[in-house]
Amino acid sequence: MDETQRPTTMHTLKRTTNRVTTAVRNEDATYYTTLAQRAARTYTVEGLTALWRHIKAILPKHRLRRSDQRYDLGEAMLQHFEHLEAGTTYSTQEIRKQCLSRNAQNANKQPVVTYVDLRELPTLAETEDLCLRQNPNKAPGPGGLSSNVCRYGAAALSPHLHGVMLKAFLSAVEPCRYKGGFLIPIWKQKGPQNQADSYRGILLSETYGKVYHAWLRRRLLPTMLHRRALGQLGGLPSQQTVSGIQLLRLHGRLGRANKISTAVIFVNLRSVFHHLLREFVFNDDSHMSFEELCKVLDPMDFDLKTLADELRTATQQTPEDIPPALQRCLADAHRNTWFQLQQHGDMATETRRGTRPGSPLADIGFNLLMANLVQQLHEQLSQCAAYCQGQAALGAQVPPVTWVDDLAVPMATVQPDQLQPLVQEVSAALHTLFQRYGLSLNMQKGKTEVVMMYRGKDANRCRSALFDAESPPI
Amino acid sequence: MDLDIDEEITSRIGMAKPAFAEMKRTIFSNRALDPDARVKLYESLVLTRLLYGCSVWSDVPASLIKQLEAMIIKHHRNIHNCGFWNEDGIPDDAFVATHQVMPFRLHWARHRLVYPQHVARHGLPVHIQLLHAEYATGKGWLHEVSQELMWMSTLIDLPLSLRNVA
Repeated sequence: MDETQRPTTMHTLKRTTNRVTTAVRNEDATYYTTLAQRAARTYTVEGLTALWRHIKAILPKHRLRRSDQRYDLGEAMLQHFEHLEAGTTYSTQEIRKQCLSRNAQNANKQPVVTYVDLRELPTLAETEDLCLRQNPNKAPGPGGLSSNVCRYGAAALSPHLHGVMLKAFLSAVEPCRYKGGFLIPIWKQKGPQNQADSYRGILLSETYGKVYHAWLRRRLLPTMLHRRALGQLGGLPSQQTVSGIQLLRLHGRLGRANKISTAVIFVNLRSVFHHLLREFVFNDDSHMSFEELCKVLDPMDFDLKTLADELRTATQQTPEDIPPALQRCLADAHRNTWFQLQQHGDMATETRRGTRPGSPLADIGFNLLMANLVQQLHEQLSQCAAYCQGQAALGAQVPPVTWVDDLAVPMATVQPDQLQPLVQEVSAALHTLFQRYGLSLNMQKGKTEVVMMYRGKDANRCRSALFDAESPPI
Repeated sequence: MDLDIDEEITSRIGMAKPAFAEMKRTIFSNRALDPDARVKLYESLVLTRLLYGCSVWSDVPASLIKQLEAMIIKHHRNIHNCGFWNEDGIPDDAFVATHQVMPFRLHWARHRLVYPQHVARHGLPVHIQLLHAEYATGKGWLHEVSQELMWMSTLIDLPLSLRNVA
């Protein structure tokens, strides 16, 4: 490079840099001016919600928040979701064929429900109401139709959809496309983005399928209210999370006032919506076999033979608080379910467990199971002498508090040194109980936790023995 | 359950502060937006984070109440562009009166007075039992709410006897 070339190049670089900076600044100014003008107009014409939608996109936090899949994880992602929901991947035609042959088989095998109360049938008014309740601007499922069509065209659509729902209800056979959808992996905002288990899946199902499932949910709600355990708050009408917070706080405050040691175990379950065994809730006629369970559950953690037996027993039981026709529909809605990862073109995965996050039936299905589990837990706790003495000393029977998949078990003891053994006993009972239903406690940091508050005589000694020990005794 | 309310309030402040800072340039200091619209957005985007669960707060230390009051006023000063950075220099009381800023205490009282209705209608029997047991100790949430109701009864006629509140 000669003597003139270097300064000339440097001069050109500096001039270009200045030009680029000016251009970027001008563009920024234009962008923000337009945005401000548009914001004012949007607020005047469309209101606050629309304004927030415009502004949200440019906020630094939301701009940086990437929840979509940014790495091509290929088969790893498919295997991850296959394992979560005990799935097997086939071609979409094969899934459809299996679904149709199963429907035909069931139509011949199932005892026909000869009596259906007129009040059990879906009504046109209900259908229209559920169409109107669809949230607008939702991503469409495999049908490609936006929820806006359903919401804004409710009056025109509902008579046709009502016919489909009536037929699906009476024959207990729903269209195959209602049973599945696109599974979109969403990054959990933690963990490496190039690992499949850092993603959770959300199902984009067909809008009309959602309307049908929302109707099933509505019909199942009285059963849920009837079965709810004391202290079960989540997913039920007119309940607030703050009630649960206040219950636990009151428990602790009363313990403090009465100088009684108290503890609360906060339970977190691992991937519950995916891991739930449907047979325990929806009485599917074909339960998961021992071999199928071996593929998805670790034999070291679960007693798979007993679990397989219990699944078989569960499918043979007929709940009396759900009308027979509704029972058949619920079982059908959880049969031959499938998902499709969008990059896997013609392939889809048939799933065997889980209540499919994204489905209107997901929460109520889990709540029904939780009601049963909490009931059993309550019975076990009432047989524990230290637990009962603590409750009596406190002057109130505070039940385990649940909010869908979150569970808090408050307990109290008369003597501080009874607290640690009681916590250990209850933890063991929780572990065994959830294991019996194919669920496991999430023991990662910040998930399942115990908060212990020692009070009364010897409290300091107990606190010191627990927290100053070299290796934690619990 | 950690009984110290301080940590919960500190964490709520810790959530509301960045929420305000994040949207300050785009919304709260955006002169193209009407101040009323900015206040409404502030209430829905920031105050909701700050006041989440405040209906069941009790025994809140005076220092934290002051901190919360000061934070809300500071945010409103930013929204109305009225503070030490310009020459207006009006004190807090005058600012609150001029712009009709609802202080934290009123937000809090409003939330706390609505919540007992919910508990009475939908609360579990054990919830009500625990509230009564705490009230008997002479302090706690229900005790504070009954005092608020007494204060309210000095302003308006309440359709209930305060002896029956608890």
